[in-house]
Amino acid sequence: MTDSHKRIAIDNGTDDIVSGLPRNLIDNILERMPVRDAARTSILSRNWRYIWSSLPHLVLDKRFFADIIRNNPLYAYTFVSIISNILLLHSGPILKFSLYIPNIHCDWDLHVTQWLLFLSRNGIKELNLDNRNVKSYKLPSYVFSCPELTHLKLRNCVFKPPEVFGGFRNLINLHFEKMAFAANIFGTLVPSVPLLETLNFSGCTGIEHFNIHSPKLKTFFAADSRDVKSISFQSTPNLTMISIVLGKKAENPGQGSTINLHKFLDNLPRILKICFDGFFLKLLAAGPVPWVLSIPFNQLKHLVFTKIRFDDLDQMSCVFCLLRSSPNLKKLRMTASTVRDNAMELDPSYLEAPGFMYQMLNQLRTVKITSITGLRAELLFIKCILTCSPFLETMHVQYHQIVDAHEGFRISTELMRFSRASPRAEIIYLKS
Amino acid sequence: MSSSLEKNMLILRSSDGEEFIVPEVVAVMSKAIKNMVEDECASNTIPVPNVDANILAMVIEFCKKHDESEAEAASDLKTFDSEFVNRGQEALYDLITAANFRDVKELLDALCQNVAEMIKGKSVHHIRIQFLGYQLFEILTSNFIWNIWCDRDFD
Repeated sequence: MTDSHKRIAIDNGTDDIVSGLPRNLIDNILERMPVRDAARTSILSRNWRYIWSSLPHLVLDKRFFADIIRNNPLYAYTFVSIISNILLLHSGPILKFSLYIPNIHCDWDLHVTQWLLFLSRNGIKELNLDNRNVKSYKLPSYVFSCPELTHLKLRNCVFKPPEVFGGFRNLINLHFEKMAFAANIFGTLVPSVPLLETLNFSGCTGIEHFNIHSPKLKTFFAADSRDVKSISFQSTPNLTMISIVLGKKAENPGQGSTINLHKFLDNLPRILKICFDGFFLKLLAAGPVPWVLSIPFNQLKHLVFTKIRFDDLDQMSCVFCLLRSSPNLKKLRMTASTVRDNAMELDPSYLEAPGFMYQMLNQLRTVKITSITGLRAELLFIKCILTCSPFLETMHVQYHQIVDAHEGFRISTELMRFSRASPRAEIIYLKS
Repeated sequence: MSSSLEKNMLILRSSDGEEFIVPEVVAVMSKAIKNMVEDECASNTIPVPNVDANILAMVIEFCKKHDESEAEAASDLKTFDSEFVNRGQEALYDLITAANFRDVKELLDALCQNVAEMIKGKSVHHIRIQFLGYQLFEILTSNFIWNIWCDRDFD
């Protein structure tokens, strides 16, 4: 066989099952596999030849890069040229493009900019740039002129809308990770995304004031946002889930902090799930904390508190304010903070005061409290929950790793003694 | 709905004339049937053209299982799904087209996932044998991508 480049056609008339299917199904099948496997199908037979090259979804993820890196010393060059080739060969619109940018040292950013230009002309709707390079990537201006975008997920990019910015009129889902922002991002960005439903910030710096007024917004996440000084929700009637985790003590919470628990949580009629960490509760408690909110959260089903210090009065008064204001709560989850400084040790006997929790949590079914170390405040809190939830089914308790078997036994005997309002309540100890 | 049937039961008639009595909750897992029921253009018998009795029975079995096991553990359902879709190529083809035509999302997802698994991680040689039943002798395209990316591991 000298002429190995020549294709020897064998047409025995049989069609394979897949290439005979309607196009939407072929796309559905090929989108369920890594892009490399999908690409390989184009040399299966004549029918298959152009199917992959017009697939509207391209997911060039971490795995795509891992396939390239194997046995390939020139992987940085190969990575760039393969993606350029894929885009050159592509025909038809690219609706979804997801790209993992590895930590390679070459002029990758020039290439990414070219790819984005190509994508912006081909009807891109979902864009995901996962930049793992040490260098952050400055988004080119044409990304801001893709009016069709519905999903935008960016990591480690410089996001600076141009002076004249028409807005993302169709954007539903916005996800920022490890991004640095200019100060007034909310002033310019949020008003220009009227359909936004999910907003997610994690590890972003430079934002001090969250002023959120998106009428369609359903979920809001902020994680590791240590620069936050104020958060306010205005006209967000559809918000169903909030999660705010500062991850670190806010700098000077007293100064410039304008968060007020009452004002902050008063305007959320449809909220289903709330997740706060202890640091954020501390920030909330900088203003006056009411006994109970004027408008109760009738829809609220699920409360999560992480990194809570049970012996910190500020945090606990916010916790109790939320508990008293959620008559229909079903699930409660709390994780104790592992940081110990004894400076804040408070007398927890207020937890035993009659009528402290005055209101029964009639819908509460499951409670999970983790990383406890057996502080009196923790035990009294558990006691308080057991006495005021008549339909409780399970209470999961998990000790922190530092609790040894002997101490664990002491805590569990203590917990056994507490009276339970619910005859069905079961206390389950989990392994730490 | 005017029929002498028990409440909430529908009759589905396959392309070869066989009739199946199915609870409405099961039948409406097909979006197409759901739309017909909602628009009240379904008389007591709903014809299901293009789908023969054999395939229709399979689709109904799948929908029944998914309807019953809403409360069941998700892992059980997954095992059922993967066993259910593990069929010969012809049945698979008919099932996919039926699920697509009748718009049964869960079934379509399970089937497409199954076909994707058949292709995933396989060499071109394998896929050809599996799907086409024959093997082209030698192909060497001069295209850059194939040589260094797609087929590298299998040369």
